[in-house]
Amino acid sequence: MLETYKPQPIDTSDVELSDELRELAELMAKNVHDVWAQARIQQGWTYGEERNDREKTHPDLIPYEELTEEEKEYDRSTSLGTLKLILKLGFKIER
Amino acid sequence: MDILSKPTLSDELIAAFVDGRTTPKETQQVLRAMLTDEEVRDLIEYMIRDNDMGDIEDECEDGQTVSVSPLPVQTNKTTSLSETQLPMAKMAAKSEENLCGVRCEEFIMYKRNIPFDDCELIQIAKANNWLRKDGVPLFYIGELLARKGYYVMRRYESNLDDIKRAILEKENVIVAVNSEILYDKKDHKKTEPNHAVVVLSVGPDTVTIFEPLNKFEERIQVPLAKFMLSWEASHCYMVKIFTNPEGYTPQPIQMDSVPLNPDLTDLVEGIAENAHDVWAVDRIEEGYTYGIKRDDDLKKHPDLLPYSALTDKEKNYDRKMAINTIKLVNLLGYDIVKKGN
Repeated sequence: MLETYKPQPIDTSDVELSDELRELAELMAKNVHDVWAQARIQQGWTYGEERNDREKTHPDLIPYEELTEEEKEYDRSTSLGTLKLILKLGFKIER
Repeated sequence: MDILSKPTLSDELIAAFVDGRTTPKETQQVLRAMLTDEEVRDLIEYMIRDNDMGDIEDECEDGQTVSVSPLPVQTNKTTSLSETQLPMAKMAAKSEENLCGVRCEEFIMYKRNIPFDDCELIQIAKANNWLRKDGVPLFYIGELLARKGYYVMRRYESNLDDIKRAILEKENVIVAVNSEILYDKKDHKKTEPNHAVVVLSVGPDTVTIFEPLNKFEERIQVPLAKFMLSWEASHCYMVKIFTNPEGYTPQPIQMDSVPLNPDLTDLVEGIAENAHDVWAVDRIEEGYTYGIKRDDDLKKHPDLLPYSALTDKEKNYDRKMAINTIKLVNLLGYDIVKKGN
């Protein structure tokens, strides 16, 4: 019976977000990045052009604004997905 | 972001790179790998037949330092690029021009009051293979400064704002350009990057640069449009030199310990359950199935159950993430309310 668990995450592809909420997603993405970076720095990691686990260097230990567009897209998409989910679950997000 | 191991380059990607068929993003991926992976670097260099290095004219043989002529230098240069050589991996240059990458770095040392010996730097660059007959490959610009303890970031697809921000933060900027476009040489047929310059400031209509063939005190102002056109030849490749990565002090918003509005309990559960399902989809795609005890070799995981079947302890993991997300939205100035309230 347990083998038949087929997870079905909610599809949010039909949810539209206003410009305001897109900006909110950007702020959330930045915060997620800062949380990750702070933890890394506290563990003794520093900036390095290439990731090196032995020397604890990571190329993403830079301000969110300086990440590549590709990396920002990835972070943004997570926040955008969360906001869409909140709307889909029947809630409003407003100031 | 993170945690998985670095992706290795596929043979197809390497072959495409050598043929010059990669997208700028792919090119950057390969060039970054070349920076640290000697095997990759050797393979690619072999494939693009870089064995014919020749001997770089050693201007230091008689102990004299190189003198540079004022700009612009009229060269009758014929580029030694062959069909198999990539614009991105080569700097087409001849005689005194092949040192432009080194000269840009020396200028930065001069600006930062770092003592240097021109001959010594050239020898180091040659010995480390950062300097070739045709100049410095783009991915090595900055290595001399890196050696002196500076941080270097190399990036394609940069833009003017990136340059402005770097200058504002007292970082140094070297860009790869096409000199024929930059200096308006008539009948320029080549469009690949063949030159490096240091950018000092960006104005509304002009860009002030240091041209490595000039004396350190000399500046040139280039029309903005011309600068952009010549920079685009390198897909807007930029090298940034900076000293203080600790200057980035991340300050995430502090979550307070105030409990959430109880009206939002449904939302917390909804987000938590969805996060669990998303996680489960990934594990199942990797071939995992339910097992009482976690076993990564047999790919078993005890949490591969419907969310409702999980214990509170397991649910709390996802709930915590959901609560933090809602609190973050609140702290950023937004309320979350049920529709129809």
